[in-house]
Amino acid sequence: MLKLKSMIACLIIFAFVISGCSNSSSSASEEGSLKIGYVGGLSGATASFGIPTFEAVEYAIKEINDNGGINGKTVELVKEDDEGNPFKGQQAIDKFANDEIHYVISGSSSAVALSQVAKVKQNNMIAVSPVASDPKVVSDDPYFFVNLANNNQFGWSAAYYAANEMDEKEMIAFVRDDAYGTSILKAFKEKYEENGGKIVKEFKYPVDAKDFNSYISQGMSQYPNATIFATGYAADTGLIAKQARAIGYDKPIVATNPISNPQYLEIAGDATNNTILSSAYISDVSVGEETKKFIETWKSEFDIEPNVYQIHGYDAVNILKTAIESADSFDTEKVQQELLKIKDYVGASGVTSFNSDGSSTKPIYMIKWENKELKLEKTLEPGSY
Amino acid sequence: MYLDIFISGLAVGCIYSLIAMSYSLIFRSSGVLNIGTGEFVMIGGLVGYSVISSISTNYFVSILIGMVIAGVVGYLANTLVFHPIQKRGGQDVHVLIASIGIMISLPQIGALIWGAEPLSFPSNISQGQVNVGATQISGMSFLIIVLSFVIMIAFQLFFRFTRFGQAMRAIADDRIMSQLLGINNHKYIALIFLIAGGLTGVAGVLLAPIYYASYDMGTIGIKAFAAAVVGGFGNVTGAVIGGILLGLIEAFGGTMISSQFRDLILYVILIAVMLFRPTGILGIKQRRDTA
Repeated sequence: MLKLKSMIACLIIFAFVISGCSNSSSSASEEGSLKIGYVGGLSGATASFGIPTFEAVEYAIKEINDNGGINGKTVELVKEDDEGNPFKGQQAIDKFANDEIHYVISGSSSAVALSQVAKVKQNNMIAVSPVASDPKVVSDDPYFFVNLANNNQFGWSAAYYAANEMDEKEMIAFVRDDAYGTSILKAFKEKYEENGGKIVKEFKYPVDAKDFNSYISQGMSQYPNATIFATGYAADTGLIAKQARAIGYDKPIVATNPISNPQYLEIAGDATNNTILSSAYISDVSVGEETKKFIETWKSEFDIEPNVYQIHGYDAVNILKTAIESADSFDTEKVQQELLKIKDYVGASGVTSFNSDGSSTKPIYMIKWENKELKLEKTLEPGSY
Repeated sequence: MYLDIFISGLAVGCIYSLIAMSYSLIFRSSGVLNIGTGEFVMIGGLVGYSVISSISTNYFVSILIGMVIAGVVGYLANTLVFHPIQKRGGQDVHVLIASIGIMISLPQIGALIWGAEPLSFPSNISQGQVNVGATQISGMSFLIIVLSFVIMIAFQLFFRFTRFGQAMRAIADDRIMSQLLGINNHKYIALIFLIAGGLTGVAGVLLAPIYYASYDMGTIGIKAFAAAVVGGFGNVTGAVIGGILLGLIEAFGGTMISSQFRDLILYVILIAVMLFRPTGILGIKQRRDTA
């Protein structure tokens, strides 16, 4: 009799566990709260954008909770550090899945995000990334959304602007030898040649390169009329600018989104002058009312202007909130459908519309470093380049 | 065009030479293979940055103070780590492990003090140009070459013509015999660590305006170590030749063959050199006291 009772008790516990698991895709929350996971580089090489993104996500969630939460539930933020390592990025998603967390903001680099995409889908989760700009991160039937313009948009817009507005028809490309650098070059080259420009020389360099003097000398001697195009991040492009100006290069430097990072100015100093870049954001109130509002709030809170990662991180949380509220449910399938319906969402980073693959269509701001400040040159709307 | 490439290769080569000289000096005199030598570059660069950004805007003052502090850290490395290990019967492998410890811990200490972000020297230091014939070259590259050659020549003169230098050469040639002749080995070896740290520190302050100062800039030591080996490990003149050769191969290999495979080209050539001359270009004979 005792044995039978024990068996019944075990069966009840088993049934309880099973029923708990089967509810996992509808809600990741404890009663009264909704857990959202944040994964990104909180230490290591990608911390330069992983930390600012986290700060904005944390701020957005605090703001949401102050205003009643999402669908009446308080949001609880759980963070994981991927250290810029794809393996750790994957582990963080596994951990979230085990903890019944179904909504994730991924502040991981493209390389790490690529390793997370399949895991997110497999666990029936929804992730929004304000950082991963590699076009390969998104795919059909998306569970991983990106609310930042992608590398194609950055490359195409820079090429279009250089060829048509700056009338620079020859470029020497300094190509960072990683996924970001090569995908930017591919997009830039495609659009630049279409617009009558020519890449006359390509220098592909390893990600830890610091000495560009010999390449710059060779490029300048062989192609004195060519302009420098850099596909790298702030640190390496900062060195290219600094070393190029040191040997008398005075033409523009064309680059893309990461060069808006203040680290570029830190490294290159006055050599940043006349650097033109395609960016996802500029801290300029003329961009829109929501942007202006966010800049002012952020400045009053932290006494510093928000950067590109913070503004997109803030939007990522609010876009997710909008989709959950529109779905009026925590069911990830329903929220996915609502995210796909997001069109012309006006947020702090401007207007966002999701495409069917989870990528977003955004305006690109052509901005210029001049006298240690970033200035808006022109806004390129989607479809204009 | 070739002159531009030659100058930039020579400038980086001179930096390698200064660091390679330190490797050779230390190894030849004390038998210590101090893998952490490159980290004194970081000490020099970061101290130089602190000086120029908060004490004096004179670049030469930052070189001087960077050199002194890196020298003191070198001296302490020997006094607090290498010498006690050797004195207590530690073998080469134990000393090597200690030097790996220095290589790992110094950058972390650097990051704790100065942070992990790159720190840039004022741009006026690196932005001047010098005309060499019809070619315009970077003033900073020119300064690196001139200063490095001055330092290297001064060292040769110091070793040949001063009492200190001769004592150090005696220790380098035969530690036991020099001790029998009344030379205080410990004192001179400590001095060599001081000088070697200073040399590497200068390399750091010279390098930082072209790149930037950061806690991880000591990784350049790996290439300088290769330069020291190619030049003939333990031979100071060989270290100078090895460093310059490395800089030039890098510059011409990267521009004339492939920028993407610059390091691959460099190390293939270095391996080829080692195959023909396994002891390096100016390979030294085995020390008399270890024969």
